[in-house]
Amino acid sequence: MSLQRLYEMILKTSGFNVIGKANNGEEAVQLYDINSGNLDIILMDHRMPIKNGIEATKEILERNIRTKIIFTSADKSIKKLALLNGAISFLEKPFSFADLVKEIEKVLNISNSSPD
Amino acid sequence: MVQNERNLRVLGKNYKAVFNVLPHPIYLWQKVGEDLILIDFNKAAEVITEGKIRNLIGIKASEHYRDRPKIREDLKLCLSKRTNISRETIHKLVTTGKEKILVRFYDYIEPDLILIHTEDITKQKLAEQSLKKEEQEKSLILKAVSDHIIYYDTDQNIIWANQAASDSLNLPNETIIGRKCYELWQKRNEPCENCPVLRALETGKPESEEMRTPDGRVWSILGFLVRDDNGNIIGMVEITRDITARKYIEENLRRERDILGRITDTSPVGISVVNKVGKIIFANPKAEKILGLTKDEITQRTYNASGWKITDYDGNPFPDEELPFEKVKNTRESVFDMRHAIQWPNGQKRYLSINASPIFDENRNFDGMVATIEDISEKWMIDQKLRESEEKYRTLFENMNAAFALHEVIVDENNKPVNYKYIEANPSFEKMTGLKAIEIIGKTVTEILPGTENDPADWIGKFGNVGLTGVPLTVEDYSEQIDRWFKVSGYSPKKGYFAVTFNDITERKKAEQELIESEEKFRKIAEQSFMGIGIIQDDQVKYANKAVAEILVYSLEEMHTWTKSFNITNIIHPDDLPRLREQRDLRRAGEFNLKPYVSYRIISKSGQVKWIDQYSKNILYQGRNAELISITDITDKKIAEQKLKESEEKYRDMAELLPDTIFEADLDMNLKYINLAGYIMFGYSPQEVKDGLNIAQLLTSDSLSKAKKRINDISTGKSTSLNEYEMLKKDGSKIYGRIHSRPIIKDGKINGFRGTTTDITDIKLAEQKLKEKNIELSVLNRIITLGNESQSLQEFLEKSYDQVLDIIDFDRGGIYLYDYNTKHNILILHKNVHPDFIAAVEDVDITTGLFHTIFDKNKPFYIEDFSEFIENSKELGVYSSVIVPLRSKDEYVGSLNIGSPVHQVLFHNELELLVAIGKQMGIIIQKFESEQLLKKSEKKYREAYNRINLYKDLFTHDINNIFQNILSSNELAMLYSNIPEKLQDYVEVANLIKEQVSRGAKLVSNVQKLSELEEFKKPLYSIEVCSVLKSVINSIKKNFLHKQINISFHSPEKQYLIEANELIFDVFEDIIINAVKHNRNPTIEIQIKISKTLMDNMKYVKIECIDNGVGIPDIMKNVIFQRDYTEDKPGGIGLGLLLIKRILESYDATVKVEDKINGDYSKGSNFIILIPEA
Repeated sequence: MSLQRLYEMILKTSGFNVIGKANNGEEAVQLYDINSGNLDIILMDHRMPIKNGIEATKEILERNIRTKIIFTSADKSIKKLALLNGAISFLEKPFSFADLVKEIEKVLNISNSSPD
Repeated sequence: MVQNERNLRVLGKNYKAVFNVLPHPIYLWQKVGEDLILIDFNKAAEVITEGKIRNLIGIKASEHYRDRPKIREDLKLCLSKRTNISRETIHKLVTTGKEKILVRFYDYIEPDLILIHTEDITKQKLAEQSLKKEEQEKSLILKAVSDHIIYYDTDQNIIWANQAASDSLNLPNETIIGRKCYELWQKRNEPCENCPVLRALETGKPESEEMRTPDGRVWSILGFLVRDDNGNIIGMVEITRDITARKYIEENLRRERDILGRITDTSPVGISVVNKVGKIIFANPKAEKILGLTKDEITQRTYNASGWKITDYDGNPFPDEELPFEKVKNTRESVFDMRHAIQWPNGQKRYLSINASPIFDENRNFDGMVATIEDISEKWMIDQKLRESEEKYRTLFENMNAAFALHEVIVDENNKPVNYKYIEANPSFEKMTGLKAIEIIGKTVTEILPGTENDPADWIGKFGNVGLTGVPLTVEDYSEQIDRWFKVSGYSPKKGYFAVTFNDITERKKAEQELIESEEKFRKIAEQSFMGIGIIQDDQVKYANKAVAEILVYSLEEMHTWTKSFNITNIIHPDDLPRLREQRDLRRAGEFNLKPYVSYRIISKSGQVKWIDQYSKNILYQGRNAELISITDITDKKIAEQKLKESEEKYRDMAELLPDTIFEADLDMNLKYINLAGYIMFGYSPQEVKDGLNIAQLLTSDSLSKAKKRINDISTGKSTSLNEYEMLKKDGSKIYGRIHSRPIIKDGKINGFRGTTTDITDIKLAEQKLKEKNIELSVLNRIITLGNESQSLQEFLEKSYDQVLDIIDFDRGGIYLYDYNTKHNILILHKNVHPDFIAAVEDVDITTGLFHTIFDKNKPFYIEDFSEFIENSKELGVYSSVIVPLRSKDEYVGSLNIGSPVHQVLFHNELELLVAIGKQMGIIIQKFESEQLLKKSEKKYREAYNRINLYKDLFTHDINNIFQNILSSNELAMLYSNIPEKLQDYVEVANLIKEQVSRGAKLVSNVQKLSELEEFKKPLYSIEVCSVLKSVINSIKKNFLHKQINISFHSPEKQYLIEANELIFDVFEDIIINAVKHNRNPTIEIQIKISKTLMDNMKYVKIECIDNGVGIPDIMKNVIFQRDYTEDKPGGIGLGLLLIKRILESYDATVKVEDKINGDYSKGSNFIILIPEA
């Protein structure tokens, strides 16, 4: 079982719909281009082949600055850099299932409470 | 009686002996009855009858001569007549049958004997007959010859004459017999004078004579005597030949020869004859004269002998084939006016013109040449001069400024000029008249310039008369139309023609006018001049202006009335007069080197002595020598000069006391003055300076060029400033001087310079030391800068070595660095050194051997001749060398070696500089070595730091990730544990936990292995690859039973041994597991290939792992083996491939990844590992 599958199962269990999974940062940007109108949140890991999470975040936000990206990493030293580059929140590994859901809901709520 | 008988017998015996030796055959017949019987015969008879006669003794005559009645009759007659008979008969010998001509003698011997003896005259008869025949033939010949042959007796009576002789007289031959020749031919009564026949009679020798007969014929007469066998004169023969025709021809020939001889002797041209081989065989007197040789000398030469020195007229070589002989010989034709030059023995060159004709022999073969030679030297030279003259005059004609035209006068019936025709005109004529020669030649003036016939100037009349009378005419006339003056001169070169030249004299006319005006102007100037101007002739004042009167205080009238007793000489100071007269005389004598001016004193009318400056020039005044003088009163100037002189003396005294050198020199740098300090400074004596000392002698060559430039600046008026020079004392020692000079201006011109020279030798030497020190510091500074700027020790050494070569005249060598471990000097770099030399010196043990002996590591070592140490060093390009120790503080770090291919001498200061450089370089070398050690240490610490960071990262990231996965799996498992339908998911999640734990364990294992690798080197040993790989494959297949995996294995050989250790198992396993894990295909295809390869001369075992997995994009191919934990931006993934790379690096092996299908990474990857073969 892959880790992506694990997360998919967790999120689905919590009622979220996973519309795409990328194996590296470049695929993430390509998936965004395909699904940009349908997604609410992007869950972004940092250490990925070809393009890391910071680079992929920057490219996606260049397309739409309002895209919500929750950044996750076991390396907390990257948190500041992720937030500076536009990630809406940062989850440091290891985090619990509840923390994840809560963070997603929080981000969604922020979005919903925005003036526009 | 007996005695008588005996005597008779003896006598008979004697007669018998005689009888037998007689040469003629004799037969003795005795009368017996009426017949005769043969009773005896002699030996000759026996011979002639070949002995047969012996058988005939007793034979009767009637029988024997039966067939010879004549003989029988003769015998009878002899007996009957008792007489002797002789008879010539042709007789056929009875005995032999041979026919003989015999003369038979019948001698009667009383009483009854007949002695017949015969004489064989056969030969004689035959000879006579032959003679007779010959005589007849001769007679016929004599008759046939045209010469007159006459045989006289001694009284000159003609005994015989041939037909020609009688025919010449038109007389029958027989009528002249018995006649005298002089009667017949000469019609004389007495012998001719000089008769050759009579002369032969007198002299006894043949005599000849030519005689002319009255009929005009000429005869050649030969007279000789005829003698008998005893030498008695029996007659005389005259052979006369009519040579009238020959004589005529000879005469003509002689005359022709005589004429020809006279012609050749008196010929005005040289005549020579050359034989067919080119030898000159005849030359006439004129030829001798022309060729400059005697006839004998000429006939010693060939036509082309080198002695002729034949050239063309211009002195160029003249080829043989162009010479007349060769031309005539080759063409067989005459040649004319062939020209070449020869040189006489005295060197004089003669110009020849040669005509030549071939001579042929009777067969028309070339047999030589006759040539006439004409010396046209004078003519040629005249022609040459004429040509040159013509050319000159033609050029003159064409280029003369004067217009020229030639005309033919046309007259009327009264011989009065009425027109003239243009014959010739030059360019100036065209220019001045505007008429083109080509348009006017051949036309009359009235055609060209209608109306000329009515011109009041009467050009036709005036110049027509010039042509007719030959009286020249010159007129000057002014043309108002063109505002020009012309001078026209006409003359007649030939009756009926006149030529005119005319010049535009407008400028001259203007000049004349201007001269008049100028004279007037200058007269006025002279009158008004403050300078006295006058003309002196015979010591009398011929002209003087007012200024002269003012200077001399004599009025002009007084001066004009001066006489011989009181003239200009009376007012010249007596002390100066002789000098002035001497100068005047010299000037008149043509001495041109005199100064044109002179200063002298006069005594004015008021008695005041005045100094006068006079400028004189010889002129002609009224046709006689005079002096034009201009005088100035310089009394005040003289007084000032005196004061100046005194002043000069004062300053000279001062100058002599100054410590600096003061000098004056002309522009050629000849010293004119130098003060005492100068003598001391340069060591020359006053006499030496007086004798001539040039500043060039006081300067070094470098300073001399500088000084010359400076003098040039001075002479061209450029500004001056202080200059320092390297100078030379008399003893050759060098000193330094600072010179300050200024131009000496005299009469407005710079004619020298003066200045002061301060001895600055001490200052200069101090400066020089300072400069050397500065250079040393500059070089050392440069070395230090290079040390700071160079990125590596090698770069520093190369650049600093170049720097060293730049400042010294050596061009090759190298740098050694000392290896403390081996105690050897190792050659680190070299420049321009022969490879053989490098080979000999690249590694030097400095603790032993030559280097150790000669080289003190504290001092530079200078070797003038390096071959003392390396025998063939010169051949290898090193003659002189310096070894300079490179030292840092007290430590020897290497040496700086400098060489030269030629002999070099190093000075002490240069060695000192090299030592300083060596020290500085040593310090920098040690600095670099320290930095190198520091960098190594830094690297080591950096690696340790990086390892710490890696481990930190592993724990902060990888472990947390594992924890995250375990935590999430656990939560999900807890969630699914109460939901029966999620059992399958539950199991899956539980497996994930297990997997993450394995991952953690693997991570720990990898960290451990990595740590070990980096901490110490694990030993390597020989491992067989195939067995390891097969073991790995079995292990993987067991661990991934749930996956469809096909692993093929290709190994051409059974065994491949590599140099590795047990970690190789992990390498292969990780690579194959990755191939399994990162694969989305239902069936995982993996190919393992093993082979051998050679790279950089190293043998490797090549292992390829080719999969059909997800592949690795190009951008990732180079980074998958890295884990970038040295920067803030993490880029690496996992630890496995990093570990693989490190493990392989510890084997000196390499790993890389390529696409399975080149260019399409998505089809899978190929991991290629090269491990050195064991």
